[in-house]
Amino acid sequence: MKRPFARQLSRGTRVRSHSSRDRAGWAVIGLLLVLLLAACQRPTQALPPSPVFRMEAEENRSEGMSPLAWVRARAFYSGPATVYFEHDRSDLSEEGRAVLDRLAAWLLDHPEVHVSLQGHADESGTRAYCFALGEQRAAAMRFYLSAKGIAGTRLSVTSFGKERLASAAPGEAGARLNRRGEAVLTDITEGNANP
Amino acid sequence: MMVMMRAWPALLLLLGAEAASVGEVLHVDITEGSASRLPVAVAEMTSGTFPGVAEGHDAGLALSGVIRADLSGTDLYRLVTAETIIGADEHIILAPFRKAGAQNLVIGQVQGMRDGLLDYVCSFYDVYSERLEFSRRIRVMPGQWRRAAHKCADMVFTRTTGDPGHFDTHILYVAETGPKVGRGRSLAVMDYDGVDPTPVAQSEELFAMPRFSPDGRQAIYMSHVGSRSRLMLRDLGSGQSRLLSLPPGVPVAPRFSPDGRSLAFSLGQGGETDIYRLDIATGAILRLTDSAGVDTSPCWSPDGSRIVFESTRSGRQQIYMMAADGSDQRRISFGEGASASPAWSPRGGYIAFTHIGADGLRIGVMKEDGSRSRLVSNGPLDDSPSWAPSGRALSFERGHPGDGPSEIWMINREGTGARRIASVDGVAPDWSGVRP
Repeated sequence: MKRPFARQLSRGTRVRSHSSRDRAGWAVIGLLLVLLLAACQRPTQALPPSPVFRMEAEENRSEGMSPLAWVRARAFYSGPATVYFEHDRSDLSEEGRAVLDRLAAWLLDHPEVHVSLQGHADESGTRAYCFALGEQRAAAMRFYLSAKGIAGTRLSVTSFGKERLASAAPGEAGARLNRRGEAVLTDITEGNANP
Repeated sequence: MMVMMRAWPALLLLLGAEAASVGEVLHVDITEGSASRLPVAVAEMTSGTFPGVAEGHDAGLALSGVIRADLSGTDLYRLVTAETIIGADEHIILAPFRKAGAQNLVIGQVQGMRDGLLDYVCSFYDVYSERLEFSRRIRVMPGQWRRAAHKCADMVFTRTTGDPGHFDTHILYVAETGPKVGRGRSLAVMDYDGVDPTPVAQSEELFAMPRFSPDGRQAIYMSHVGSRSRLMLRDLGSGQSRLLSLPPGVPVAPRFSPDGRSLAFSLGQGGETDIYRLDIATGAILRLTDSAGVDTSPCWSPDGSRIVFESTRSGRQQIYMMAADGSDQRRISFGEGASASPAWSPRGGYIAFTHIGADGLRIGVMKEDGSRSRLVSNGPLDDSPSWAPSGRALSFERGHPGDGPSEIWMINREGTGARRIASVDGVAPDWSGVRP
């Protein structure tokens, strides 16, 4: 279980290098098109924040993985892995399920990768309750991914409550971006202790 | 009639006599919501300067300024000035203070340095009966000169209210820097009045909802290590910390029992959050609640026999109470809106909480049985109420929509004297007990 993540992942990418690079390229182009279209159609509406790979997560990983391998891992999976929720709710929307469907498909292709599911709340709630709500949201994501065939041992659930806002915009504009769950790739040696 | 006394010998002479009358409580009439304020003067007495004390200002004047700020922050005293500055070796004359309307007089005298310690004598007079109520010697390291003044103010507070003071205390909080998105956080301690904010832990992935142990030597807080939500127990003296061993899940809102042996906290598992207690020494864990939805924010009664908490079992968040073994659970908050984040007054009798209404989050106070509930703060995002050890004041956090700083505020229990601690930005304040 303690084989270095780097070796595993680079081995994986070598096997699939062609198709994966192509897929990554199309995914990026596709995402740009979507963003461009969205920007043209609804110029006044705030866009969701860009996904999803946290800098600190990246730093944590760098000792176990070569930078190139990590760039490839990122490129594999360029669709948004952020799921948004309604106020004080933790049930998944149709868009949220679609995001998790893509994530599940990618995870089935990459059995060595573990995922930290991190729930967040907007700042309108009380602090302790926001942590509980974040846990509910991440747990809902875990439940859905498990149903899609991802082993529970690969999925850890945490909550950041309202401690890590994605937007400081006042009112609903910011709140809807903050009520979210994020899927963050984690090192293979961690994330397996927390079902 | 004019009373004159040679200050130092008189004080020293009376040091023995004061012990007899300690415990007797003076005459501040506190009724719900209104207090008749006690007119008090704090003498301005010069002492000259001492190295390491009061940044090179006159130590006596600086210390009396601290006492004045302490007492005037409460709603119990009306500060009276006699417009006189008393020299270090002058006689103290009570008449001007009586003429100014003071019923009591506080005199803090810096008597110099002895064995590397600052020698301070705190005396409290009844101006009308010309009686010395008490006189106590306080010795502190020069760098801790403010503590001598806080201790003196605490003695006055205790003498006049019967409750422990809250001036020689600390506040543990999560300090924040930078814009709201990507905000930097550290664990920090400051004096209750915002002086000397000091980081005690930095560069962890998460610091949330820290609480002092009852003796103030340790802190428990929510942390995040290796993609897991954890509880971290930190020794504030040595800086050593350890992660608590808990069942899998997201632990939230830890709080020490009054005897310091147990922690109550909630644990989120599979979308259900319930309350547990942990015996710190043995690691034994007892589950206290088992209801659908969220049970969190546990807080012990002062005697440790009961726990107040919030629950969504009836729909929105409301305040509930139970015995410390989980039995006898019942709801105590009713009425418009929802209620959360309960804090049991360390002196008993009151529960502070966060009210969730159409106008945002505001701090409220009610009796232990849920009666006489009223709001004491204005919002818009007030949360995390924490009692002063006196049970007569609260600290809390105030947020603002948009990219403003997070503020830490104080307020008296009756809702008077709301003030921001302007020297820091942060959240989740926890008020310590009285320092030894």
